[in-house]
Amino acid sequence: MAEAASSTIEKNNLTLKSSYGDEFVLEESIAIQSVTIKNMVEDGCSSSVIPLSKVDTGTLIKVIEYMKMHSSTSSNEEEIQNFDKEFVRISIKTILNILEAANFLDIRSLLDLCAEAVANRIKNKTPEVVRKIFNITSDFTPEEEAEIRNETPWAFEGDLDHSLD
Amino acid sequence: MPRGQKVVKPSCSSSITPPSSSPPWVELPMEITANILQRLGTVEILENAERVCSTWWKVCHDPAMWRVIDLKYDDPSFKTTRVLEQICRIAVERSQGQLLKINIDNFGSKDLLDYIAQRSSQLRHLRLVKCYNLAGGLAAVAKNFPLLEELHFHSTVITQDDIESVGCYCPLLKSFILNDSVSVIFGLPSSHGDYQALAIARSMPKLQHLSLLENTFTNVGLQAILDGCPHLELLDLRRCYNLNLEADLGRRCRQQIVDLKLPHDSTHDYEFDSGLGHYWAFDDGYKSVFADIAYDYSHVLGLRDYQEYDYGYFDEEEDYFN
Repeated sequence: MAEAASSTIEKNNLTLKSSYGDEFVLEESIAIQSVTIKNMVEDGCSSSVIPLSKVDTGTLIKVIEYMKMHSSTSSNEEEIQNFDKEFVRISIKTILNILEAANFLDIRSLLDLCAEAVANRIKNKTPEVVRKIFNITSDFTPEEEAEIRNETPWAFEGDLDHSLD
Repeated sequence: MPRGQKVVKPSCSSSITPPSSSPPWVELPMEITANILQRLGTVEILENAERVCSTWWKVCHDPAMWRVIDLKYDDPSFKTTRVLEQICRIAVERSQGQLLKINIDNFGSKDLLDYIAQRSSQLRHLRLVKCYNLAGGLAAVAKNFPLLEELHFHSTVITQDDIESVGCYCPLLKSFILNDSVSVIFGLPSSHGDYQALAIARSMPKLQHLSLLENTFTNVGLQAILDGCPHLELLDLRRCYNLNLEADLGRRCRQQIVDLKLPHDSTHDYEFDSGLGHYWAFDDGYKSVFADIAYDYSHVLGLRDYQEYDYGYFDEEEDYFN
């Protein structure tokens, strides 16, 4: 778990600050899994606090938890896989926040992990159910609806549904 | 956890700020939405995901979404095969020529292959599984795949012409997998294997990976391959029981090939292991059961050309259905 920042920042440590103002000290070697942070370090900004002004504290804690596990030398592949599996057993809203954080921090493996988790929640569900889960409103015009029906008519007849299960 | 503590002003002017806070799903950057939806697979994108909202609809119409097409059917019926072909055509059409990789499993026709070929000049990887009615189809369209690097056939019947056309028109081909052991059901003689091997040796000099699973080719064909494909690093000869690798040829294989799989090596890690065994299980009783079917298939599949080949080239000519 992340540690609160102390007044003296040791060498090779970075401080990440969430949108709530909470600061987290993290070893540089762990933090540079984020390509964005790595670039900042290489540009000579590593001695400062890195403000992540739109990442809330909860999301940052999760991201740091992920980075720590994935840079751990004491964990084997199976442990990391189990960690990943548990890591995404969270609300869809939280995954969305982590996805966005992973995107701008440029942590590819975390982005892919969350994308896969979201995809798994879409799989084998009708558009109606997906809209409900993701709180999306259908915004097709009648013309667009007609176009969709025209292109994949079988999808509206239930031709494949029984056999795709 | 300290909250609201004094803000430390960064000495560096750069700070990291995401575009906005927790937007709804439809406001995610397009590449993230594409990353998510791509994982659903071809059928589900077309039937469900793109119907969720207009944003997802647009993402699903981006040609970049269709660079990889993976379509499989386990329980084909006339209707579902037809629908899958239609899905495949839509997916190929949407790729707008950007298709890099396609897997067609358990359905397909020469017409479909032709449709893909006319629209996919960038294709790098073609994988066909259990496509029983494509024999000869590739020969006609190979010229449309000039960048093809990997060609994998599993339980799929192809002809010598298919191999030669690929060799001729696909100069970048580096990986070739051929498991056409089902061809025995369709009445092909054992010399079929050596003709295939000779065609490979003649026309695919840049191959690095070659798998000839449960093939009937003999030392004649293997010798030709070792001569004709000097860049081979991986050679998979599992279940090729007509080979005799105890003498010089076996030694040469071990010297020339880094990753060599021998005829009696286990195939348990081969994805279609359960589909093997057609050829060598073909005792006389089995043959007589399938003889009529095989005769019909050989005509349906357009394999009659094989009856015109000069089998005299090989000493051990056999006809498995007489």
